Amino acid sequence: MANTQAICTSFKSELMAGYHNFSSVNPSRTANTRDSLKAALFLATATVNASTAAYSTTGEVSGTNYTAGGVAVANTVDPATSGTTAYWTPSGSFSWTNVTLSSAFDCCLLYNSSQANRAIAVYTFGSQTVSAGNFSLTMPTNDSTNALLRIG
Amino acid sequence: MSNDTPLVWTTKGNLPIADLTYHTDWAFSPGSVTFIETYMLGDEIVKRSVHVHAIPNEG
Repeated sequence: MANTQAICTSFKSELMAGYHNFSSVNPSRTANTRDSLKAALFLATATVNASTAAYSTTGEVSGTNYTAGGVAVANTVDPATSGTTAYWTPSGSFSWTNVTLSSAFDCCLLYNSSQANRAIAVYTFGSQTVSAGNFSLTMPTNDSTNALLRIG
Repeated sequence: MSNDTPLVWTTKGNLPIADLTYHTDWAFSPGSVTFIETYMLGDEIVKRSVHVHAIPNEG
C-alpha cells in the first residue's frame, strides 16, 4: 500500500458539522479557543490517504527521539479567504530534532488532537530516512495559491 | 582531541567534523522540494538530515 496526499474526506464534512476550530473566534462554541493540532510521520509502507478519518499509530514511524503522535503544530494564524478559496497555514514548520528514523517514511498527517484526533490532511514527499539528524517540513507561503490547506 | 575540536553528533556519537565528508542533495517533486544533508565517515552515513518544503495541492 502507499500514502496519498489529500485533504481527508471526513474533515470536509466535519467542517460543516463544526468539529474543527482553526480560528481565535468561533461563534458555534462557548469558548474562542483554537483547537490543538499535531503532525505525525508515517512509513512509506503505510496507507494514509483521503479515507483516513483519525490519527492512529498504525504505520507511524518509530525511532530515537521520535514521540508517538508527532509534534504540536503552531497555530496562531486565522483562516482567510481570497476569491473563492479558503486557506490556512500553520504559523511554524514541523520539526523533529536529533531523531533517527531508519525505516523509510514519506507522509505527514495533520490532525486535530483537541477533537478525538480527527484527521485533517495528508502530505506526502519523497521517501526519506534520518540518522542522528533533523527532519523538518517547512510551510509554504500562506496565501490562496500556496497555503498548506486550501479549499476552493 | 582538544576541547577546541569542532564535533557533530552522529550515529556513532560525537565525531570531529574534520573526519567526515559533508554532502548536500536536492530533490524536486510536484508536491515538495527537499534538501538533504549527509555526513559520511568513509562509506558509512553517520548523520542525515532532511528538510522538505511543502507544495500541497488544493483539496
